[in-house]
Amino acid sequence: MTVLAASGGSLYTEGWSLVATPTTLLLILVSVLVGMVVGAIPGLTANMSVAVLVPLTFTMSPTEAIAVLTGVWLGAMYGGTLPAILINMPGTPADLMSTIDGYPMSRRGEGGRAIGIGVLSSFLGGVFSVLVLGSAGPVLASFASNFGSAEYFAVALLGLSVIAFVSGSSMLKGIISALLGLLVGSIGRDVMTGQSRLTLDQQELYGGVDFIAVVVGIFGLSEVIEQVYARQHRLSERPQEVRRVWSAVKDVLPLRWVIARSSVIGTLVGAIPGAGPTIASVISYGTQKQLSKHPEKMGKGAPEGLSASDTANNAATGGSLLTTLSLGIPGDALTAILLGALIIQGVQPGPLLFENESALVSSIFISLLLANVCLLLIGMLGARHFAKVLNVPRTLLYPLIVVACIAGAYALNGSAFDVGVTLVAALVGFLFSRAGIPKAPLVLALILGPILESNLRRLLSLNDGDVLASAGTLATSPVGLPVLVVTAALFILPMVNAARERRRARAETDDESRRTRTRAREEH
Amino acid sequence: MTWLARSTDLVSGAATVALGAAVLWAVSDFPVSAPVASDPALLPRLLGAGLIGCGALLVVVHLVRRRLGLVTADDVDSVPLDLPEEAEQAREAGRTAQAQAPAVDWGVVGGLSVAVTVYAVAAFQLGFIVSTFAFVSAASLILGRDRSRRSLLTLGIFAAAVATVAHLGFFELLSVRAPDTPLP
Repeated sequence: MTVLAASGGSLYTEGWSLVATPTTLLLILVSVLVGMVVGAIPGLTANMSVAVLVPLTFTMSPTEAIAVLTGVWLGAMYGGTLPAILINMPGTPADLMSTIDGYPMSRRGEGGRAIGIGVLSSFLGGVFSVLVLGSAGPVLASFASNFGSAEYFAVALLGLSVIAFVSGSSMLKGIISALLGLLVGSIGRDVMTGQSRLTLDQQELYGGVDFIAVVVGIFGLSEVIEQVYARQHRLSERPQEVRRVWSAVKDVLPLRWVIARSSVIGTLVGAIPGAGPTIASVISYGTQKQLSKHPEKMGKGAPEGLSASDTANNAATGGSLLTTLSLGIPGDALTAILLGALIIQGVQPGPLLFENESALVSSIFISLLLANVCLLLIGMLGARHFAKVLNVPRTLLYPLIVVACIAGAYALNGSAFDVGVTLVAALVGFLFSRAGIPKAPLVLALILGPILESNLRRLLSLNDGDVLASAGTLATSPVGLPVLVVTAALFILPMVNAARERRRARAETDDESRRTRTRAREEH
Repeated sequence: MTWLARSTDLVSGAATVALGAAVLWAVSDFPVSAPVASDPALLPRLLGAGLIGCGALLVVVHLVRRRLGLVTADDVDSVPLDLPEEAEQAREAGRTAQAQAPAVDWGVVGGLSVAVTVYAVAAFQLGFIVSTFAFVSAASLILGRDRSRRSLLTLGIFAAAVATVAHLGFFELLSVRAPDTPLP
């Protein structure tokens, strides 16, 4: 009942008192700005910028902390569009699709217009997804309040499977990454028996490995080393001058259906546990290409292509926050970091959050809306200056990031042990990159591990340790069964596809050799 | 392409198997609990077995691919997500650019890694401000910053500013207890 009472309009009004303070408003503005700057530098991802800034939010109130982190997130998502358009180099992985039409536009002297279309599309997609979050969040939370261990276990397993499935070039490597994340998450004292597990007799590990220390190492420190490995520190880009950004305003009306459709796609894809903005923009671009009246122009600087990818990319933010806040299951690696930051603040996302902390939830929605408005203003007014960020010397920037990572890791608990954890995580992150193993499943598994384990063991307890009876509970649950079927399909589908591909390849090879033999016989 | 670069899947598969075995060994002395639900080793055992299985599969897949003459580990086809043609082209262009990029500068990568490790130890044993100043200056030079007098002066000012702001930000603003060190 309380959940329903918190729905609708109150979610957009209740939190104003928390957000409408000069400090919070300034923090939102500055964080969007910082996010844009970091996102605009190729190679520095949104995950990295949020991870590095998490320790700085410890002394803030939950509202301020989430305002800063979501501001940086949105800013970085938009910032990544700039190098994608101007120098054909996506600032973040989610901006890969923006290069396809953005760069050709820039090549023909329409860089300013392309950036304007990107900003306006991002803004509209972002606002749409926040509005959906506001209305669907309480409904989903109300639905999830009936979830038991079986349902939570199934949803967490689905999230892990999806991210292992889509985040890398090989599903097997995605699974290995997720298993390693679960392993790291299981280090420490067992919550049920108090027995220490895999702690190597290190007292500091009894409480478990600090999630943020791992994230800072994996996404912060290791990415700096990777950039140096890829010789990015020697790059100096001189992008063209950005002009006529405001000319994009008149493009919005003709693109209204593209933006509307991509907003829906972005929000829906973002809401699937495990999927994220990159997948959202790929699907949105593909859909637009199929529906376009001029598909032949796509890939050659079509504004609709750029708008489709940028809208979906930003709309995915609200979608992924939907499951994070209402179920406590993060949508992707970045929302996993946000979830970790909220837990540190003493806030436990999940169905009860909407019931017990409706003012805080409301303040999150309002912060997101304001962050989108800041993105629009700064993006349109400051695009010309942001292009210069590409000239920032990496020889100064990378050491600065390292200092932020090391000091941030120490600040977590005032302990040098966490700095060691960050260094080890950085090494693991670097080795993962070299081996082609995706990092996102590890981070997601780290946060989903305790949810998975506690619900699995609770489920087993409820069935007196009977594994078959527990499986029966899962199979008879109206939520658990469909979710498990989808999870199973994710594992079976690639195998079926691979078998079909192999059969086709074999048939082609047989045909080819038959033709060769016939030719040879004829020649003979 | 070096043997290591060609065999990353083999090495990572073998390392995964070894890690899985180490996990199983680490929980082997746990008492076997009668009710499976209260068994603290339940998850580690499942994970250990999963790591061994996945690692072994990775090795097998690598060996089979090598036998078929497919040396590359990057198998985009294994992701059943239909990427638009342009996205494939963009990915391909990225891969080509990577292949054409000059060889890795191991001196810089190694130098920076050592500098980061030394900094992580020295910052909380020797003194945060001094170590940060030294690290920012050294790392910047390792990364190839111009060594003209003017550039070095700018670097010195930048390093001093980073050290001061980081100290104020983390230890004063966030009220984190600064470690007792001989130097500031």
